[in-house]
Amino acid sequence: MPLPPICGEMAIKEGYMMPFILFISCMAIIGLSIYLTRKGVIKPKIRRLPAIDAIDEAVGRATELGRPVHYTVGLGSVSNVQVIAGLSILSYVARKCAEYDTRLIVTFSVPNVQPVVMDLVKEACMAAGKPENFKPEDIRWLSGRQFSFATGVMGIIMREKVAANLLLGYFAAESLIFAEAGFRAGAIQIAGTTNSYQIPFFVTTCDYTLISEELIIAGAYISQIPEQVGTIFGQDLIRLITVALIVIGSILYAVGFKDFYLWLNM
Amino acid sequence: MSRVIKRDIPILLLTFTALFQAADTLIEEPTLNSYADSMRSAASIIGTFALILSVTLLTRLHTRRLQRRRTIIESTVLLISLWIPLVWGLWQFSMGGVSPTIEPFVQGVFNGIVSPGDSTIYAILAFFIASAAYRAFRARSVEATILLVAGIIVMLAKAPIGESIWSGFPILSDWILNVPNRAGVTVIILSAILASIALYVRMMLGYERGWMGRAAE
Amino acid sequence: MRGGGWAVQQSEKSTSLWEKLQEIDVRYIYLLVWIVVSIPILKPLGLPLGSISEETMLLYDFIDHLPPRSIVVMIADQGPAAATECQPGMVAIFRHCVEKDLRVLFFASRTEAVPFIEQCMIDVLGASKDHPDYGKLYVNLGFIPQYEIGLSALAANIFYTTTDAYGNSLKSMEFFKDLPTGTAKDWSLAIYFGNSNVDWVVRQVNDPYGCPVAGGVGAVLVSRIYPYYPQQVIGFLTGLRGSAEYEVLVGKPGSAVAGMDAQSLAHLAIIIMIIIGNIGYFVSKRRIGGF
Repeated sequence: MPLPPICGEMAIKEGYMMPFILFISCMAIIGLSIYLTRKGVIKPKIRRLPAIDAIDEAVGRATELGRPVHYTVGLGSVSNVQVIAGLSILSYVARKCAEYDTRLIVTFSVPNVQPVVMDLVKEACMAAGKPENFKPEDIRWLSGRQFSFATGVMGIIMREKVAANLLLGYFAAESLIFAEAGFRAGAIQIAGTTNSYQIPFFVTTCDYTLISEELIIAGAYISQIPEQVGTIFGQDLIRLITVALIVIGSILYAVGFKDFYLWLNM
Repeated sequence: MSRVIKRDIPILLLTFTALFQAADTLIEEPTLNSYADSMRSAASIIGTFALILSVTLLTRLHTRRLQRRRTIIESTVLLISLWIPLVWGLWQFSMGGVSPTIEPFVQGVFNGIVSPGDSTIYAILAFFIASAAYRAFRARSVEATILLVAGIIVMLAKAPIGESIWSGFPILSDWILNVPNRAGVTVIILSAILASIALYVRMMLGYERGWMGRAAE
Repeated sequence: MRGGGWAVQQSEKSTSLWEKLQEIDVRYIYLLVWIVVSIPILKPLGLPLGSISEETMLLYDFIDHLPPRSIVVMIADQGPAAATECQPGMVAIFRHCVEKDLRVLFFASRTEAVPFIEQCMIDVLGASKDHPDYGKLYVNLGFIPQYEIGLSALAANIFYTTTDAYGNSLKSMEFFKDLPTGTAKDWSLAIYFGNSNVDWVVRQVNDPYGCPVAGGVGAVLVSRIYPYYPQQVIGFLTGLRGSAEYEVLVGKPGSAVAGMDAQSLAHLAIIIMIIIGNIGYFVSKRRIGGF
């Protein structure tokens, strides 16, 4: 049934009333969480993420061994949420590598990531007070093709004998190829992706794995900026509401009350 | 001024575009929907220009290596295989209107080199899975044992030989995939979506700036 | 769960065969896998396929009950790597659609999938654009870029590309003559073939327009589909096994069925290796006194 117009010819699309309400609600909840965190009313804490804590360890190990760190954001473009999360962590890793004079090799598959990574690593080197550590030739677009990219990364990991292999971004079938290559090179491996069907490969082959949202909140975890942590608090509130809706909806549907389900599909 | 250009304008553009596209998804209004359509096409075209940048940088990197007499063979092969099909395909398309998808040389390179290469690297996964499974699948704990047993049941169910060994494997496998797997994957998908919402809000408010090539303060 | 790599503690010098097997050179494992996969391909064992899985059967029944001239959209996203698993399924499903007189609209969401559409049409019809029913019952739109954005545009307007893969105007084709809305509402089924996920297809086709979705996907992706099955994704083919099942259902066994022997032996070999590895693990644990 078409919904009535809200302004002139403008109307909510049929079947999108509930998504519209949820969209506004989510924005409001997160905005409120940021506000309350900034005012100090709530002081949320993110639980420990061993994989992120291990980044320092990984960079330290690479520094001791005199071998490079390899970082890849995988196959996605700069609009992919996993790549964005990977880039947040990259700025931290790049700064650490610059501080310790450790070589950092960054690889990616989609060309539009290149200018972002260049700026990020350059700024990290400058922030560490070591602009001379910025090496554009170590920021490598290998190929837009999945397995050509995989072969290139495998080659870099094996030839350069990387001491730390950070796989944080969007990965598909090549995830196991990267992880095995890193294992053969004797690297400490930290991986993270939201692709549920690649997580098992990372879990079995890597030392530390960020599963799904852990990758996405890693940037906030590293920075510990209150407003960023506030958004995670808001996200958890939305999760609680979602769980409540699922439980209530399941019970009501099971007892034969289908109106709640229809209301959610409005 | 520099901060406005480097920080504020990109964030404003991002916020406007994101909210505009969200409005297009939720709201029915012909002008809005039409502009959103055009915006998506524009995004597609802009993304393609980044390819030109990356090809240029890759060429520069390998040309420098050749000049320094490092990785001569690899860089030569890369530059030849990058530029020759590209130039030839563009030439054929611009002069004769021949689409690269049917141009014989480009298709020959694809079918003869690229396609078998892709298949070969994908096939390597079979070996890697075997070695990773052999090395890592240990019943170290209760959870690991459950994972191990579930994995074995599903593997046997998906291969015809499993049903020959015991007809119960497919039934058990269906239960594993339909119940615990469905619950687990749904949670992972939902968590990722919720985290993405929070990430996008952080981006729109300027707290997350990795996508701009800027570190967080 | 901590995996391999540098963090794994090295055991003391192993003494028993089981423990030595734990530290075997991986090249022996690769050799074993290579032998186990090659032999059945060279000399088929003829193992029975077994029962047809429920998700394949649901897809088959759905297509079987579609009225003639229903529109089925096939989204080809398989590259050369995924084609081994997905292409036989695509051919079998297309064969089924041809038998049921359905209209089939192909498009590729990646450039590498374009030749696979051509090959699919040639395998089933014997020709592609030169077939007499091309333009009436079958149309190939070729490559539509930008995945979800491209599908969204196509779902909103079936004439989005204006021409097919061969440059023919869509509006001149009989295929598109009697479409009520010109959107995905007119589609009876959208089938995704590839190794990515089906979320974007469900989002752009099922959610807004109510078109059911199906999949002919690589086995690794299957666990990801279950949250959508069976409401939004009405059925799917599970990798090579699913393709083999569909080939059997349409009565034309092909490369997927031929690959089943190799799959069986490979799975069995991996399971045996896992069991051996675990025996070695428990033996060494007992020796060190960890039990």
